[in-house]
Amino acid sequence: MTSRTLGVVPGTLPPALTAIEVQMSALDMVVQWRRCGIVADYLADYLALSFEQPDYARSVLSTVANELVENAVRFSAEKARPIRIHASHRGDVVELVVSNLSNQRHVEGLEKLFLDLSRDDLAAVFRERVEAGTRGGLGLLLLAKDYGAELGAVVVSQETDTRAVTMHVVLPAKELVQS
Amino acid sequence: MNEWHIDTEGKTATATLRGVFRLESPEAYDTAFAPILAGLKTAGASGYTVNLAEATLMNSSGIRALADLVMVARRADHPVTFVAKGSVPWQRKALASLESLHSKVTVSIL
Repeated sequence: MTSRTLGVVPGTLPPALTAIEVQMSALDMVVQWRRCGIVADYLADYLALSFEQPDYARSVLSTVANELVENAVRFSAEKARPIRIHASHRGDVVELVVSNLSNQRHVEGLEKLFLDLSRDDLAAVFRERVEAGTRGGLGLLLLAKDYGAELGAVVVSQETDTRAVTMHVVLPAKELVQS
Repeated sequence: MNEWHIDTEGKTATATLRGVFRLESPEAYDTAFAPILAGLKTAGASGYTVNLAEATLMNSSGIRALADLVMVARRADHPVTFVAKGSVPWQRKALASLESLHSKVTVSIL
């Protein structure tokens, strides 16, 4: 097994003030797509209570969590295997960590995306992807561009084509307050 | 039951979106947004309005689909207006991205 890192995986973050972990089957989500949103809303409701403007915080947290859940479901190679999402409020950041089993094709897409995310002008990346007719990868790009999220992924190669992907998203808590 | 609704009949050259838009794929949005695309093409140079104010949440496939509508308007050099609420985070953020795609996109914040 080999492990490699894409993007920025956080080192030491402030201790968790509030944390929740949910495990689900991608198959359940594929059968009833609305379950992605239900999980995202649940996580958002749970964490949003920690913030001064819970309705606003809930909206942002639900949007971010939903993108991550949808991505994990779409790119789960074995739909019966579990997806785990751990969400925590850590002082001035919220961290979301999503783990699933994917495949090499998806990892290659992630590599291209992280190359784009390393560019300074993410608005230009958005325009270029839309103008090129690219339909995938926009969700993670928008989390970085619009919500100031820092994104990283740890990819562990397993047998044959299977890749264990753990996506780390660190969202500044200031994004959960309306300016 | 859908969590969302699109009204293209109530007001001329206007689509009003309401609810939670988390459709499962870009293709699902192609179908859902087909009446908006038809209205946009019919409106032509006089312009089309997409009212998002009551769309509480939208996933990135939906934002991508809105971007496709903007690109259709851009290719035809026709104006598009988006109506949004400043208090809804996804609307404010997504519309800044859509504005950057076409000089004839106008955003009206309620």
